[in-house]
Amino acid sequence: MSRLMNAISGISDRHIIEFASACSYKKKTHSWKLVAAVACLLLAAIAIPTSLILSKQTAKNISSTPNPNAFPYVIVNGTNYLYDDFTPLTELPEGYIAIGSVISNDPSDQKKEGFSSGCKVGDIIYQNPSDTSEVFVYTKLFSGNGYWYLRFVQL
Amino acid sequence: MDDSRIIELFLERSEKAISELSSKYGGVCMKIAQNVLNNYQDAEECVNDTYFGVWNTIPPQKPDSLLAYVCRIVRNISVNRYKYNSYQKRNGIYDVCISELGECVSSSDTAEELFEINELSGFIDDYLDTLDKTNRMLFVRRYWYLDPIETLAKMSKLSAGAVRTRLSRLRGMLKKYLESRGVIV
Repeated sequence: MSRLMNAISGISDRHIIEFASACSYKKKTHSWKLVAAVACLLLAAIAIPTSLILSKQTAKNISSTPNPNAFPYVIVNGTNYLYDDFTPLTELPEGYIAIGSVISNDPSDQKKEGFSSGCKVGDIIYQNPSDTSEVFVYTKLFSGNGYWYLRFVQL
Repeated sequence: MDDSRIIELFLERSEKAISELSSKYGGVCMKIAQNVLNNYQDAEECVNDTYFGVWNTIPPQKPDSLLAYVCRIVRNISVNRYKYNSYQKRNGIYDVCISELGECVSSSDTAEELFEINELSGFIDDYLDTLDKTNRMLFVRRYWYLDPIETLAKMSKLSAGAVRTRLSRLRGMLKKYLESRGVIV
């Protein structure tokens, strides 16, 4: 059987090169993610009113009356999802499907379906049908230039 | 650094050539060697031997693709090291891959008389061109890069079971393809 293995060893360069890019032994560095996380923390620290920082309110308490000056959030199926994860994803986890998009940033619509504070109108919203406690939004929020997936969790 | 510039450094016999090659392709070389040998120290030695091999062969060689050239050398060195270490012992991936491919082509002397390995390589190239990108990736990464199933599952965003099923089908399709090209299986 080494004959076929030897033959496979001799396939053309183009097939070898085509899939070489995914091959790496080095552990990937996440310095850009660290920078993004620090930037998010600083932005959140500026956005949250001092009273919220000093108070001992939990995320559930904040969720009852979402504060547009607090963390970004999005309303999906009548549920408020608050920006949670400081590690944005470049790829969507398995099982998530597109369920809609952000419809409005108008503060007067803040309790309406599809409203978001932070994400832009048109940003796609993804959810795993078997786990409705969170959604992902494909957005430029906090990224600078490119798009990535930000996680929002149910309040 | 651009591949052509790295090749120029080799042609100029510059010491910087090895460091640039290592910086750019050291990771992929190590990955291939690790896949074959499953041993960090042996893999590291093979990668170092690869750099030595590239240094000794460029010039006179001037490969069109430096990446493919380096990958072939490290793979060959690693496989030879594997065979030297323990020919009979099953180490995992390399032996498993050989046994998986056993269903495609027989190893009888009659088959070997009828077919040259390089012609078989050409047929395999043609077969790979008939596949979609995902299937081609699975085949090449499994049987050339010798990646484990779990790695392929992550790369293709499929489950491990689905990867095994696909590879089984791909081997079956390869067998039929080789038969259609006159290879006695």
